[in-house]
Amino acid sequence: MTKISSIRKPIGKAFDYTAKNWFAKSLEKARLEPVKYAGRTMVLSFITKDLINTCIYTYQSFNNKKIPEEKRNFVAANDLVLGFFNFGGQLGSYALFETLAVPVLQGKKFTGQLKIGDTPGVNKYSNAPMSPDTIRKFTHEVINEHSDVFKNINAESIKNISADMVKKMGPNGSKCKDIIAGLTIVTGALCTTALVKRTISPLFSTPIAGWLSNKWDKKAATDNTKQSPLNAEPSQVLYKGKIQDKSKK
Amino acid sequence: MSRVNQIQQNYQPVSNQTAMKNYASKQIFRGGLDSLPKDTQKILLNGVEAKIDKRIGKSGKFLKWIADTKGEIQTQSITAVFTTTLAPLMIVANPFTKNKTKEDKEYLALRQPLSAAVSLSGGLAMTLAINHFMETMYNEGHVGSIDLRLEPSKDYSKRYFKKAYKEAKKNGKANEFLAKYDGDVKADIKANAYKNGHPSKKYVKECFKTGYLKKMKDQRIDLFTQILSEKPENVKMDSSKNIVIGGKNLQENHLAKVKNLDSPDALIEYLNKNSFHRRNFGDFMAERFKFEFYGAKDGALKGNLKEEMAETKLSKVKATDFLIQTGLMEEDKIDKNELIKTLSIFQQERNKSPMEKQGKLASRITEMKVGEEIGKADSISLGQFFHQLGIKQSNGELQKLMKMKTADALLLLNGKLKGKLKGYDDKADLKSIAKNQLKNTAKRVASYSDKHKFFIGIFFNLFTTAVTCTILNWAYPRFVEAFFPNLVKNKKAAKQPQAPKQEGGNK
Repeated sequence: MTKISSIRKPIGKAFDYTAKNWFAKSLEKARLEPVKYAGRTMVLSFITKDLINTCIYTYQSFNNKKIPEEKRNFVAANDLVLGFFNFGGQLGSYALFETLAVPVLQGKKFTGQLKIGDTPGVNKYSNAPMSPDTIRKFTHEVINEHSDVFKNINAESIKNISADMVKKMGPNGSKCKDIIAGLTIVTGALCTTALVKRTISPLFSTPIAGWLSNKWDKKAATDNTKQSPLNAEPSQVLYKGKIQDKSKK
Repeated sequence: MSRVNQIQQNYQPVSNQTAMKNYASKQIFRGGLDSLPKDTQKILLNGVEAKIDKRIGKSGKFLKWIADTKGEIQTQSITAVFTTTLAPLMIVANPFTKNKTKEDKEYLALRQPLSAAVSLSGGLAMTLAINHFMETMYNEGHVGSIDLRLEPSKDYSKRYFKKAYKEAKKNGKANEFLAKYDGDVKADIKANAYKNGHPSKKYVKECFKTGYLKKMKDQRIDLFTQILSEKPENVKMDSSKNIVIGGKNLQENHLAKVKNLDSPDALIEYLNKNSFHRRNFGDFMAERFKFEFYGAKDGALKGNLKEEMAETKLSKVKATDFLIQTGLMEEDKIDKNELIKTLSIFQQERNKSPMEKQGKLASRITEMKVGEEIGKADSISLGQFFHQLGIKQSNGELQKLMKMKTADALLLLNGKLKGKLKGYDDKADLKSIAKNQLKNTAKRVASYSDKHKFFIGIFFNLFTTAVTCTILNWAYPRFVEAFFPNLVKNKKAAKQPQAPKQEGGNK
């Protein structure tokens, strides 16, 4: 056990350093706005992996002798072009999603709060599951259902109890924040991974990869024809596998 | 007519203006949720939660699971699902690629499900390993700024619970063990607790969540409250490595001992760093807030509030945050409306304070009506708050406060706030303040640990990605040759030079 704890101490110090110096601002921002940063960290995870994937796949596809030669350029070109589309596309689509869709989701779907574009003073979504009006309604219903327990209670108490319940279960409660964080992650993932990475990117990257691989194939073919011994000038003689130009001697 | 409607109809509102003027001497009965007995509170909370769950449906549970940060498991699973289903379809059925054959496209498309399988298995294995490792590091106090020994995380506590439950099962006392922790389990789960004499999984899970975990957290907060608020000379360790204050064993019947606090040297080191009687208040503040303060320059004392606040950056710290993070007040009990009014009452009690000179600011506060523009009440800064308490840079009180030990600083602030701030607990002493503060610290640090784990997970998963890419590039051509030879052989056959046709011959 002492050996394990002696290894953990320096590793712990390294992690402590990262927490205090590299990530301090991000950790504090994520603590204050967990919903926003839940989505952002997810996209960061996708993008970093895609960067590494692109570099490694492209390099290895070019040099993988097991892939048939006529397919190698197409596979490598597809990896490269897909990488560009994935990186830029996911970033761009999440930025759009955060600006346009998130306020709408949060406002209307669960909390019934007015967001951009809504008419002030008119709340069409006060019926949402965790809006203040709904929580107050549910509180009154529970008090009515258990009238024997809530016997000695006055109107001001009911008002204050409802206000406390709205604080705990309403838009600023932990349950609501968890559900909205989950909704942001799922819809954000649909927007970036499903829509951009798996639908739009392959749709447009495949033809571009085809064009690029054809270009590489043509270039490789012209290079080969220049050097082919069948096309060599009579003065050029094949000598130990290398073409030696005798005319220059 | 419902009972609520009946009460509301007969309600006669009473003006509370007189109460506002003298509230410092009167205690107002709020009649809120806290005034109800705990059983009644539970009925209300469970009842409303059940109605919300019914309204949201199953999607609510799924979304809550997604948001429960376990590192990258959720994101990797989502990626794998879409890689297997959508990506191959988009490659094969792509109308824009006309110059590539069907076999070429199929060859490429087949790579996607294999890539998903390889990256998911590698990624999940790495994520689970990282999660396990990081939980151990945080909960054993190896990462100084993210110390979860204050309030152990769910996954870490589960290890102890599983061990203890296994032990109890071995001795045939599983039911007794679970009965110790089922006090807060919901009635409907308790009713279906046992099936054919065996406890159901849901019941065991709830016993852990509402009983064992809660007890463990309460025990830890009590322990640390006592050892950090007590003078370090009085905190000792006995021969069985239990922490003792005044002969009383603080770790009696504890569910799990605190790691790395099991020797007198480790205890002394911990107390020197963290005890309220050893740590400066300035260090405590610096850990939580960005602020600076300077000594008086060239002997000239500054009395101008605006200049002082700009210098110290205390204008950027909210008074509400300060009160919560020092533990002077609990988050639920802070009333922002009353905080503004408190400032205006301080205002009336002082003569010629700098805020009066500000003119606009003072009149705005005294004229502010409850409920109006309250969003802007959040801008009451720590600088204004300290200024009202007489803690200024110009009279040296701010420097003095920062150099004090945390315990003394908190007691000083406690004395100044008693009887002046609505909702302030006049019976508060160092222990209760310390408990609030440690609870808040534990909450803050738990949130840090989730996100930090995620960032570290991303970093290590990059190495995993490199490995899985290499494996995929090795495995993919071999996989296609073995299972889809037609995609490889057709092209090979077409490539072979055709033998010249022999014409004629002996007929």
